[in-house]
Amino acid sequence: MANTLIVSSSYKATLDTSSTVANQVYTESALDQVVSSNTGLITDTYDEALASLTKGVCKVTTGTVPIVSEGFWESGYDRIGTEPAATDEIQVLFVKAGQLIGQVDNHIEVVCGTTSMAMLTPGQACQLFFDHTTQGIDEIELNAKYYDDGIDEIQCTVALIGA
Amino acid sequence: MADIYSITSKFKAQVDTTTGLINGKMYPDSKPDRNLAGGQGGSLGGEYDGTKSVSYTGVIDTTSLPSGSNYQAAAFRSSDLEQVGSHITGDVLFVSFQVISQIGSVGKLRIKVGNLSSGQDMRPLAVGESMTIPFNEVAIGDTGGCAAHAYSNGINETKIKVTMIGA
Repeated sequence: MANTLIVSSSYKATLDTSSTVANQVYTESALDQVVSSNTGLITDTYDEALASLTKGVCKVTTGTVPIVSEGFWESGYDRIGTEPAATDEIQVLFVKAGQLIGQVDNHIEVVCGTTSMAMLTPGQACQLFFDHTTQGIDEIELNAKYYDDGIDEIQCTVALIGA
Repeated sequence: MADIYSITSKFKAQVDTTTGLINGKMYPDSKPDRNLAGGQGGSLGGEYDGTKSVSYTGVIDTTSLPSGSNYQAAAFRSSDLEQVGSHITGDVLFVSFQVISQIGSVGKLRIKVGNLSSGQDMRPLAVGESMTIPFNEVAIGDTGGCAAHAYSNGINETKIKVTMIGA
């Protein structure tokens, strides 16, 4: 037997099909028939010794601090498991933005290399599933838009599985 | 109201908790990985432009990742490509891949995010697998591309469906 990882990602696109008849607005929506919706499931194995879940305040506003370094988190973060190292490969990155204080437009940006993948506002989450045989963890970045200790903060939860 | 989209992501992690042989017999077992709280899930979404959605279904006829992007028609064999909707010319909000079928040599679809020579490698997809990749309003030419492990007309073919929406 081996450790089992089941990863799913799905999307849904809904068009606004509202109409106005005789000055009355009739609100309607329908599934976008061009792309519709899709749910995908992938099963894989993983290394339990390189899996971690960390919750805390992201104190990095540029990508210069690796997500697996202590400098990424404000002190007082909670972690279970063992983080992979910056020199390891990455298999799964899951990020969920949590509560914020201060600037109301704060968010967590997820960046692969130079490509911005998502800007997560409180409550939003994003997951990326990488080729763990080739993809280095050091090319993945997370940034908060604002950080000022005790003034502008946004929490995030990061699940990492390395290889 | 507006045109809206959502992307939902989840994972479950089961750790192998099988002990060794007991009186000569194996008792396979697994449990939710406590170091990952068993798994995580959540979603993101927002508004999109309902005139900017497109799907491509066909056979991938490229086996290498050149520079630029080839998510759009360039990655497909043109003779039997089915396209619904118009090419997206602006920024993209997600790209989704579904590997539908394969004939001949068995292999996986390679997917790269960003620059095709220096970008990031996503998990290759086998037949039946699919993946949705979010983008934060990234120009279509900078999103990445895909390639089949092998292609020979009528011999080695990988058929996929790619869908995407734009901002």
